[in-house]
Amino acid sequence: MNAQSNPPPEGLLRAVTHSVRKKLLLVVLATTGVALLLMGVAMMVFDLRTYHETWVNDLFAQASLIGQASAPALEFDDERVAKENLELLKIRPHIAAAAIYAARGTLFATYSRAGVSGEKFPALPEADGYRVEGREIVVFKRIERDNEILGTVYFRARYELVERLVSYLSILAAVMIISLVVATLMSAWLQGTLTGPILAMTAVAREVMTRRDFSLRVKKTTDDEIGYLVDTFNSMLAEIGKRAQALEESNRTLGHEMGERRIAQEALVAADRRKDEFLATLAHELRNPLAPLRTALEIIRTSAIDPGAVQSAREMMERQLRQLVHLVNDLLDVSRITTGKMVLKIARVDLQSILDSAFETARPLIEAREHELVVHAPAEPIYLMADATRLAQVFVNLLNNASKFTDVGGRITFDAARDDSELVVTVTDNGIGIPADMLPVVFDMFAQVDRTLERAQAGLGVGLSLARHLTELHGGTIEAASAGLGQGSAFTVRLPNLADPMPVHPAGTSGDATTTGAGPHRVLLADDNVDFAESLAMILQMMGHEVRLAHDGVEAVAAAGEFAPDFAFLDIGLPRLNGYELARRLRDMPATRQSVLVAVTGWGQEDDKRRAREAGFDLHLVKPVEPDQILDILAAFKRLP
Amino acid sequence: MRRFVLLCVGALSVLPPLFAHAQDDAATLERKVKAAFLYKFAGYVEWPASTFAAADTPIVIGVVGDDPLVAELMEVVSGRAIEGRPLAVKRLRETDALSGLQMLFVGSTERAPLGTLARAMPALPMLIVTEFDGAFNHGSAINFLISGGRVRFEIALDNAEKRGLKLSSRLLSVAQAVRTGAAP
Repeated sequence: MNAQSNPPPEGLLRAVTHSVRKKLLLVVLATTGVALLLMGVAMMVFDLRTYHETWVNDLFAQASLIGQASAPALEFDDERVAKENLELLKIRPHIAAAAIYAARGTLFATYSRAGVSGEKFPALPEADGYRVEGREIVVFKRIERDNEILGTVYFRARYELVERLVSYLSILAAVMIISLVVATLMSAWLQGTLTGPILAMTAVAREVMTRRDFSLRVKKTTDDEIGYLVDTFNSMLAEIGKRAQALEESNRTLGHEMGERRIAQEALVAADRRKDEFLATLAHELRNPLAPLRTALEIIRTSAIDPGAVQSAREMMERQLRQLVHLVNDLLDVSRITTGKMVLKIARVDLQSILDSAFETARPLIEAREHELVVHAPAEPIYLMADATRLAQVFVNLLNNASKFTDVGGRITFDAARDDSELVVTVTDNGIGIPADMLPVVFDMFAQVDRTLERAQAGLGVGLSLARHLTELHGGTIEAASAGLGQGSAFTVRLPNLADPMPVHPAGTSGDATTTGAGPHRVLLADDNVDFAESLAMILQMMGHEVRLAHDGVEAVAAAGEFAPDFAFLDIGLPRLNGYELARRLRDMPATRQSVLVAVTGWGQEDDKRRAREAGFDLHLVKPVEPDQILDILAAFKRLP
Repeated sequence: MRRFVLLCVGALSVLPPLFAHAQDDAATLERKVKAAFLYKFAGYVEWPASTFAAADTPIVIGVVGDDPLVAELMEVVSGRAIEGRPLAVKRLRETDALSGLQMLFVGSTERAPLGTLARAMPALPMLIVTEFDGAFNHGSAINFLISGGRVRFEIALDNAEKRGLKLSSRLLSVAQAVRTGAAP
């Protein structure tokens, strides 16, 4: 037996005071035990006292009866009768012995239950009273008559107080044991209904604290106050869980937003850097043609008499000018795309005419760099629903790109083929190729693989970006592929919008109009850009048309009334009287009621077109307006008077 | 305890010894016992209600034909009472009137006890005690006899009832014999 096997009393006390369950058990057992013990002892004392009193009274009564009955026997000295009276005590087995003493104190008659003669009787009677002698009680009762003592009755009877006490104690012990067992069982049952839910709740609370899992719930087993407590606890858990989740969610969102913001910021920084680079490139590119132009002008001025030199200089000027125009057009396109103002003029067009136009535009550069151009085009005619000019621009940009990034004397392949319902065009070169890491960004605005300004053909870096945007506006896709640096590259355009091969409009194509020209028309040009207006007027006049110019709205009204033009090209942003108002006035004037009114604006949105129609315009052109577009219009409406 | 002893001593002085002592002669002892019995009989008799004028009217015991017993009896009853009534003893001659008596002892020394008994009116509520055989045929209610050397008595209940007397059953229980019906 060592110290550990015997827990110290303090440990037991702590165990009791630290557990509700044990407290309840203690309360139940203590209450039951104390109540039973008190009641048992009280009942026992009461009963033993009652027994004692009853037994003593009973013995006295018996003694009195025997005494009364035996009074004559004593008076008349008749022992026989006294003995007979005593013999009646046989029916009282508790009385072991009895005797009657005469008045003189001598034994008069005796009785012994056992019938043994050896019974010892007191030599002399005593006064009225009783005496407990161990397990027996001795009673003396005097027999009196008329204040005269006739004799004394003596009883010796069993006194079973101890036996009763023992029985009582054993009954009390049995009752207590049974009661405590029942109380323990009841307490155990109570734990199921009372402490059970509380213990479960404690366990869940501990679990929640350690695992931080707010989705745990306590099972409700009762509908009493504890059940309500469980409900409240559960809803508190739910509320805490909800809040914790919301906090976590908000943290995650915040982190995500910060990440996005960082990415956006990086993108902004990158875009800003690209824009700076672009501006540097732009300045460089714009300045490049100026030196040759000035040189050419000097040549023309100094060698006016040498037709050969002048011719050569003029051709150089045209080339440089074309380069400039091309640059500026690209810039304007970029601007339109970035501001969302690019509008396609979709029409049914023949692929061959687009290719012809593209090759014609791209040929000077290809020839200049002495590349070999191989073209594979389908023999049968293919028609598309597309903007012919813009689609040609896509192909030109790809061809120019290939020319630029292929060393002199390279080979460029142009493949056009029909793939099911798509037109697939691939431009392949054997040039410097594209590093793999640049493939994803090659179509980005201002992106350039080689950022050095020294490279002659670097360009603005907008060609491929424009090609992609224009392709996408046609609903198509464009992608670049390259095996790596020095391995050449391939650009593939896929266009889904093929058209029926049968021509719908019997009228001649726009190409006819531009090539054949139109009959002479009276044309009114109203634009506050004097140079633009005058240069355009010069071209029209050269083509045989009669042209009148106006530089503001009021002037235009006057000119129109006097001139009665067949066509009026009106800038919307005119001073003094804007284009819309001007159109309304012209529609009201007899001279111009039948005229074709064309709006020329910087805005190509549907809303702008609608406003133009409402003002009375027949057509709508978006700046910058090419002379060809005006010629097309004049040709298309040539049948009008 | 001292009181009890004193009472016992008192009782010894009052009651005659039941067993004879050497110096007492038998006749004296018998007379003493009979005198004590006479006195005690009174406690077991119930007289008609009209017998006594008042609550303390004495019970009068008349004695005929035994003068020594009168002295003995007077000694016994002096200072004693039964249910609050004192007792008085009256010595009678053969010719004295028998009225005013509640008990009458006719001694066997009387030459003509039958004559005295004949004069005792049957209607008088009077307990007649005798001491000779055949006394019941002459109206006696209690008759002394000697049995086993002891003084005993027999009772004729019918004779007592004729005179309106009731004898306690407890007295009957110690009687040697009890005659209830008509004489044999």
